[in-house]
Amino acid sequence: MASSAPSNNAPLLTADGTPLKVSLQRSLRRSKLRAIGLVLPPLLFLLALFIIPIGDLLTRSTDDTRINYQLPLTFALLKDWDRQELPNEAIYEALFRDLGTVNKYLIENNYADTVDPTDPAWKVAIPQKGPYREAMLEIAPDWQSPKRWLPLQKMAIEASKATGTDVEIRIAKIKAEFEICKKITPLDNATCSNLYRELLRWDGKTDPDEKLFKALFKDFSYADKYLLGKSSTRMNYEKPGFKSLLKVSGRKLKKIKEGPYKEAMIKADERWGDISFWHAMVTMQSPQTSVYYLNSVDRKWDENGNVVMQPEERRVYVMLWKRTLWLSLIVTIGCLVLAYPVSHLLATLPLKYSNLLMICVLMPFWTSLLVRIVAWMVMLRQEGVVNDTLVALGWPDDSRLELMYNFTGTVIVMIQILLPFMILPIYSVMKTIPPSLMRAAQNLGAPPSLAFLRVYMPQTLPGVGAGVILVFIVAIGYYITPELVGGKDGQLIGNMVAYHMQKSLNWGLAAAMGAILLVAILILYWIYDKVVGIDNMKLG
Amino acid sequence: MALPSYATPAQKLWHYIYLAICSLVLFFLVMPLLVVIPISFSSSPFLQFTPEMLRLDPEAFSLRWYRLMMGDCSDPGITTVCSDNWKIGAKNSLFIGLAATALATTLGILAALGLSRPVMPGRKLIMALMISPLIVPLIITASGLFFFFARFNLVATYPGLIMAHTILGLPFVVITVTATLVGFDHNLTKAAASLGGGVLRNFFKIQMPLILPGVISGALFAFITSFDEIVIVLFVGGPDQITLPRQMWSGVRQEISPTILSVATILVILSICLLTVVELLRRRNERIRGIRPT
Repeated sequence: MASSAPSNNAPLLTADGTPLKVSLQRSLRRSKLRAIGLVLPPLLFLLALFIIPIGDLLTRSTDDTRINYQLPLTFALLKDWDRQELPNEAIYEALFRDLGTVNKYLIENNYADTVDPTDPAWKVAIPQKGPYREAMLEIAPDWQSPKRWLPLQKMAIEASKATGTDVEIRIAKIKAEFEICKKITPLDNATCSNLYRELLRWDGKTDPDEKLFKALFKDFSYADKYLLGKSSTRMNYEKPGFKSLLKVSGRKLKKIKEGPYKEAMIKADERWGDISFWHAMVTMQSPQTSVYYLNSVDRKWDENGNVVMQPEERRVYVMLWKRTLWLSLIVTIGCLVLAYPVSHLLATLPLKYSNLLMICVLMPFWTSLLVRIVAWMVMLRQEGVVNDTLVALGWPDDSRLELMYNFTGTVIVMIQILLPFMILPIYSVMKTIPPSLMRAAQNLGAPPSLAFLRVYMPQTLPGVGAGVILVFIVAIGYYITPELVGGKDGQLIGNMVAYHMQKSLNWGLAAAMGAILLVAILILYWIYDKVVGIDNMKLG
Repeated sequence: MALPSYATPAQKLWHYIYLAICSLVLFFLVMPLLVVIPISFSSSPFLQFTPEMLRLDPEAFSLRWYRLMMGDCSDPGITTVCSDNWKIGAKNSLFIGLAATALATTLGILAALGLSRPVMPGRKLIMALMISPLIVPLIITASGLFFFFARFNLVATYPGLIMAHTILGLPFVVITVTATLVGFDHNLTKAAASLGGGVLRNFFKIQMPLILPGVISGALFAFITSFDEIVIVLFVGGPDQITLPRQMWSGVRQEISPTILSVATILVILSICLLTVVELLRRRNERIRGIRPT
């Protein structure tokens, strides 16, 4: 650059009198800023809607705070427990309170407070059959003023004014019930129907009465029950049997009217006298946990804090990981074997023919994924085209092939879907290899097979590498195809993630499995970048 | 490539085997799509080639599934569900697809313009980030967006779906536009600027026409990605947001009705049209930039 020019006397000046060095630097800075200015909007968009959400998902894989909200008083006291003998009466009483009543966290909808065990609000027992108002106000006085209720009432009133068909009115009502629950609880899938009803009845001016508090309590109890269910699933990971223990206790503890609680609880269920349950609770105190990661590879902590395998009947995930890798490998190899000759043909044919054949490759590439799956379903069904053709050719009618809803089906369909991803990179590399090289090798005496192996094939390796990594990356995270044609033994890790996200709502486990998958893919992405360079990624 | 006249019989045999393998693979690629088309015109509700169809009996062919797809329920012989959902789905998919494409194209062009400047700091890292939505499994993206959108009340809304699809389309635009910018002569913009063209005018009159093939093919990729997307729709879309893939998904999960095959046929034809456009654009781009196809 000119700025490095020797300037022993006077520095070089530009037309307007500033030194050339300064002027060049200024213009470089300006163009740098302009480039950053251009990239910034898309980059921020990507950060906000892609990187941050995924990061947020990953934090869930170790997040263990919910359980702390469920048993706040117990956990506060357990901190001082010596872990040698069964906890003392105070801790039993705390657990009794935590399990028995809707706690302060939920009523205030404020999870930021640290628990002060001497605060009487944590020990107020709300009578199951009322009156509720007094007890609840003792726990959270801010429910006394109408101001706390008015925003909720506004939602209910707005929804009640909805017009339209019966269905539309009903949907408006349910939506408002969801919204109310979302406002006062951490749940976004619950309907606060009691509150909705009572809020509409209330005039909005007088102090909230017993009926409103009853509705509030009912809806809180429902939320608490739901949250406890989730927590008990979590606790069951730590110690199998916890879920059933909590379920049974829920019923029996209601009968206990007064202390001493330790004795009464052990009498209600002797497992409360088993110290290993208490040890499990201690391990759950930390707001971070690795239990989801352990679980996603069929491991768990034992009583002594060692990582051990899950019992035989609970092992699923290692098998699923193996199957996912195995299937991705088969699909990748299958694609490679099929793609190599075709790419060679496409690369060596004269342009006018190869363009025509290229359409065969690109057409499936451009066709909707679901259309391709539907097409394969028509082909592979028991009464499908493949089986019909076989039968027409003399195949015995009673032994039609099982080509779908199993591992084979998934492999066939995935190979067809991913084949273009293999053909295109190999083809683009083969096209750059001059055909004269093969001729030269043969001229020098090599038989065609040797010339191919020693001269042609090594040059295609970059394309093969790119295709192999690309196909493997896509295959390993597949979800839709196995879901539709996989049946029972064609399910992959992606399906498990979806299952835990949507059905079992075990989000921690889904996040942990997603995180492992993501790390595997990022490593492959990194290798891809080393082998091919992402700048060279081409489409079509 | 023809076989030389001096080829030995073994070489000849091998050559024909090789051709046979290639034709089988190509057949394997397109056959399922081609099979769908005739069956969609069948008059029978079974997804098979009936003997009548094979005899080319005109009675065996009909447009009834296409009428059903358009929400025409007048056909008395039809027992499957008849609704306007296909039409609604097509409209929604088109709307979401166009909106997401517009956003992705705008953002993608900005990113590509910035990234193609050699002075851009952290070029490689940003490029890797921009392309990552293509690499990360959809199921992970969808799960992440689900929690994220739940926080901002964006679940089951159109803005939510459009933004999610924009993310998926962005890498395609970045890749294709960056590729057209590789051979771009930056002296052209400098010349335009020295002749007094403003930044915007400069961009639309000089740069845009030259990168247009890349922009269009990137936009087409973005559109088809959104138009075809199902995982995100299942995770962050609401029950009233019926898109075409979602309607197909629910159709496939229950019982495949021949209506789906009609939709599939239309989509196959659509994909052939798009493919042709992209191919023509690619050739135009190569011609403009003086790259001779070999």
